[in-house]
Amino acid sequence: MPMKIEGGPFKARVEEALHNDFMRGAVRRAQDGLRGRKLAATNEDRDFEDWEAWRQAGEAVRRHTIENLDYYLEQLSENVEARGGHVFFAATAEEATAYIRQVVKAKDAKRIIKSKSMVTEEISLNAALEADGCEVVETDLGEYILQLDDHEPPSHLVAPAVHKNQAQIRELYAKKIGYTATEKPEEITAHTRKVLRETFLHADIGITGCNFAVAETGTVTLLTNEGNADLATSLPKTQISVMGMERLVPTWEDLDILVSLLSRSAVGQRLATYVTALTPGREEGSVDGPEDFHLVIVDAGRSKALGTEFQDVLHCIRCGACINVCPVYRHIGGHAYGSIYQGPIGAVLSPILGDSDAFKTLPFASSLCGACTEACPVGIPLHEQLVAHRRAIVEDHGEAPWFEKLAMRGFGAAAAKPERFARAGGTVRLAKPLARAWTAEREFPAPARTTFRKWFEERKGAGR
Amino acid sequence: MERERFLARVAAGLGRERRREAERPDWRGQPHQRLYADESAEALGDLFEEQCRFMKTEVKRTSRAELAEVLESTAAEYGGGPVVVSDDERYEAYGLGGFLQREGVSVWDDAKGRGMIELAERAKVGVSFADLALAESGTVVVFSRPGNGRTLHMLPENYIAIIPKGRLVPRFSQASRYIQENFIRKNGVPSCVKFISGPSNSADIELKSVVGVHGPVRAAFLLVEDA
Repeated sequence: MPMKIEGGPFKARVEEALHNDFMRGAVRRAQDGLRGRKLAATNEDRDFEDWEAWRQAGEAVRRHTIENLDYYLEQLSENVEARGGHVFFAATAEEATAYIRQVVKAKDAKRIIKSKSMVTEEISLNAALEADGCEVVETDLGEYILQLDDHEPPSHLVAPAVHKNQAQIRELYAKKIGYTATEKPEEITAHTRKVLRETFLHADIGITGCNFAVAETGTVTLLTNEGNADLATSLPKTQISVMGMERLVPTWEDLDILVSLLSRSAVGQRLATYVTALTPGREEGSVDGPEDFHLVIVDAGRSKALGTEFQDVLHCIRCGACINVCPVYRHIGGHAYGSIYQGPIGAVLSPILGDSDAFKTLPFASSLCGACTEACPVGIPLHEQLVAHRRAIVEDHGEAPWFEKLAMRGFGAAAAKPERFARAGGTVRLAKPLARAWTAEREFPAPARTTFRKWFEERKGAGR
Repeated sequence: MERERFLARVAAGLGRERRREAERPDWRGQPHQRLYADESAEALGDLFEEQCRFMKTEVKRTSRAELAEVLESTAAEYGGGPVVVSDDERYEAYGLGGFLQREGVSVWDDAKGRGMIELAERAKVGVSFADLALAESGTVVVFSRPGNGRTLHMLPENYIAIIPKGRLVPRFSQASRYIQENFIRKNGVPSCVKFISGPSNSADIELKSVVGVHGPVRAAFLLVEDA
């Protein structure tokens, strides 16, 4: 599917989401669960030393990589080619899909398996290959469920089917693949294993995304808990990995820092269950692993952020931590954003990568509480970027959308009484009054650990 | 788009000339270099065991003398056979020659072609040695080479890894360094480096953890203390 998902204007989607009690309950449970896992693996993890020091290291790796992006992309592509792999640089989504279609055609391939990849969603790859008569099967459990449900869009970066309950999934399986067992996740999973195992064994091409490429060795690294990326890159004769042009690190040492941060932030583990580092040129005589390796490096709007105040958004490692703390996401769920990227990162990224007109309301879908910025493992100032987007949009259109007017009324009421912030030792959080202004709902995730006052002092101190 | 044009566009976006070199940040004293670096072998063993349990991996601490018996009984718990094992001379050195001779046990043989993969797919148990193990995350590291197929670790219903304790290092950082010293500075990295931390799992349905999605349903790591 493309970046933009169907469902009318933002306001209508929000209305709809606010009336979907089941979905909102599921989203709350998912947020709490994922956030709890991360906390267990980070702040409260005495064994991990200082989480702040790790974040700073992560930010330093990302900043250095993006500042030298042309150099490291050149090094990466040379190393992939030196090992016999093919590299294609795609300036646009169309260039990327055209190249992949051509590879598929040249191989006369019909059966394609995929492991979860957001960038292939961005470039509408599945639809293009299906139009060519290929069978394209998603193998991540969540993605498989959504694909069965007539290509429903993902509602969370890491847990794409989190808005569905097990009864709905059972019903879907019964309707689409003749499933007869119960709604227990164990039974649904066992059935999925059986169905997809067959697909894996007979696939012609495996298509993956790329969590981090390593420039110094020409390596594509994939993180999963399911092991689907391992099978997708072991059984088919051809591997095609698609990466956003920012998704690389210079060396294996840098990989260590980011894999440590991503695993903790995305799934609350010290390491994802399977971290698999793939370099072209399987060992001579080996029976498994691809004979042919293609790396497609995609810009598709990313370079628009370079050299602007939005450059830091290219530091994102797609962990979803900002989504898991966002009070707005908590209320409206993922689909209301109308983009395959949800939550704070989605609101910053979508207007850059996609059609800015279609996504211009998204930066207003925020209480600016700053919880996203605090949660980000590589220190992207997400809420500041949301403000920058708003400024740009207001300058462009001369008027703030309805959403901001509503939010700012709430802000005005709270900000007019600064003593509210000072009471109780400054423990009143900014999130609450702001979020309360735009919905009567009273349930919030645990507020950000930084208080408004502390945040404000630090900003002053940093001289920003 | 042609590479140089693409990269020139990136450089222009960054507001400067094309860059032909870069100096990496200095990582001295950063947390990844310090964490667990000074732990004793015993403490690392304990950390490894604790993490394996968190990741739902069964961990069995054993010795060279008892390894054959522990491997036998673990394989039996996991359904007996068919068993596929990696082609590795260490089996003999660890007194496991008899296990390889048992009925239903096949040693990985790339010459069998597609038949080898079909065998692995039907197998109840896959067995391999760990090339390294990471204490912090309860992880086994394996480097691809003929005789140690990628799918050997993923297709069989259950997975058993044998870990000589001398191969247990604190964390990913030491594995990165090992790869630097033994591969990057020599003949290049293996085409596949796998970091395996337990059975295949997912929380995609209502965030409930389930095992056995695509890869192994159960995993056992046998830590050989005197090896």
